[in-house]
Amino acid sequence: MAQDRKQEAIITAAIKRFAHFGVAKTTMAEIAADLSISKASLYYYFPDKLNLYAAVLQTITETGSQSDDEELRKRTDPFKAVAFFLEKRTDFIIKYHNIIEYVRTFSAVNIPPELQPVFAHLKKKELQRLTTIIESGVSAGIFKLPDPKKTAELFFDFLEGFRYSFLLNRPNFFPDKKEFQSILKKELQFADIFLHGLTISKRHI
Amino acid sequence: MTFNCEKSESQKVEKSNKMVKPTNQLRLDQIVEAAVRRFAHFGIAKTTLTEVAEDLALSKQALAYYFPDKQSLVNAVIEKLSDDYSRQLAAEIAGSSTVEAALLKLTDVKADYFERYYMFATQAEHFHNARQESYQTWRMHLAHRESGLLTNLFEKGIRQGELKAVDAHKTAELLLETLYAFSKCMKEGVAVPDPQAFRELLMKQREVIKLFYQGLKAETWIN
Repeated sequence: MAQDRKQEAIITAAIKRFAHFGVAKTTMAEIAADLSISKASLYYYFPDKLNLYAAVLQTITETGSQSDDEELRKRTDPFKAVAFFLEKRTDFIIKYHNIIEYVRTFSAVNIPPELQPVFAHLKKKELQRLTTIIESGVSAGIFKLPDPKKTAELFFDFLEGFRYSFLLNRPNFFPDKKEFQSILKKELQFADIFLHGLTISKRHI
Repeated sequence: MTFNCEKSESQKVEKSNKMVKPTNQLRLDQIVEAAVRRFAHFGIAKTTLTEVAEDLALSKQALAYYFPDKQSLVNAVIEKLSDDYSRQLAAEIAGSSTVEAALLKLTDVKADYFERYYMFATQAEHFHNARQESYQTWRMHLAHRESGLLTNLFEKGIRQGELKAVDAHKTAELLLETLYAFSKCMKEGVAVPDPQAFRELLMKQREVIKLFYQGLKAETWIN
């Protein structure tokens, strides 16, 4: 039990450091010093920074995810649900930007095996949420489309591309909160157009 | 510039460099601003000159033309921030109608700078061994300017009967040292800047200011 608690304490300390300074600029020695433990005992719990990073990613994505799911279920209007989804996602990115940023150091085909399951899980979860929203729109008779999962994937890919191109256009400063909020604004506009495109036209009814 | 005679060696060297080389002031300002942003967030130790250059899509060589090493950039940032700070402080004090309001403004400005440049300030103190005096000199300048502003404020308060007839200069120094001690306490324990800790610090400082003011207030000055 004491072991579990120590592991948790390490992850918490790592989240603090990673979130502020980024993964590359944080050393294992600093994390050990924050907790007043020796480097040796830190390495007993995590063999290297990559393993610690994987544990951190898992922790931050799981924290609050259940309550978000519940909140999402309460929003029966798919337009509002998607907006909520996007807002929560932006909050997460602002809070943990420096942690997520580290992912970019790996090329898409070369993601280390330590991280693969975490990413797979994260992506699946986000897709699942979007699919649920779109499905509920279909069953409520708001949307008309053959394959909710495919539509969710399309929307998801758009989001990724959006963020990527935004950051690419202004690559020479590490982004701040305002920039992410302006991305969110565009995402919300895009979502609105996208979802309206799926909506059964009321004019003919 | 009242403290010209105290200008440190490093600043003199920089000044003479500027005279020889043709420089683009706009570019210079831009570099200092980029450095402020990096230093403020990551601190000095975790910022590389390459990153600052990349932020501006400059080559490392071009950056080196303006700032040959990290030390020179740190000095420029120190100078800019302390100028900005004392200018803002002077404006806020001048715009306050009572001494109490001015003192509370003082803590706000102080806390705001402290929170924004915490990473930079704590590291600037320990950065570089070779030219340590540059930080010390800068701190002295700033302390002089701050205490000058406060002394004037207290003198005005005394003249106008808002405050008791105390030694304005000594009181100013005492107040500044009290506030400094508070922020010093915080510097010891925090690895990553924590907004909560900054808020608590500000609240404490405001409490102290209020007590301080109560003690200075002229008895007859009742509203």
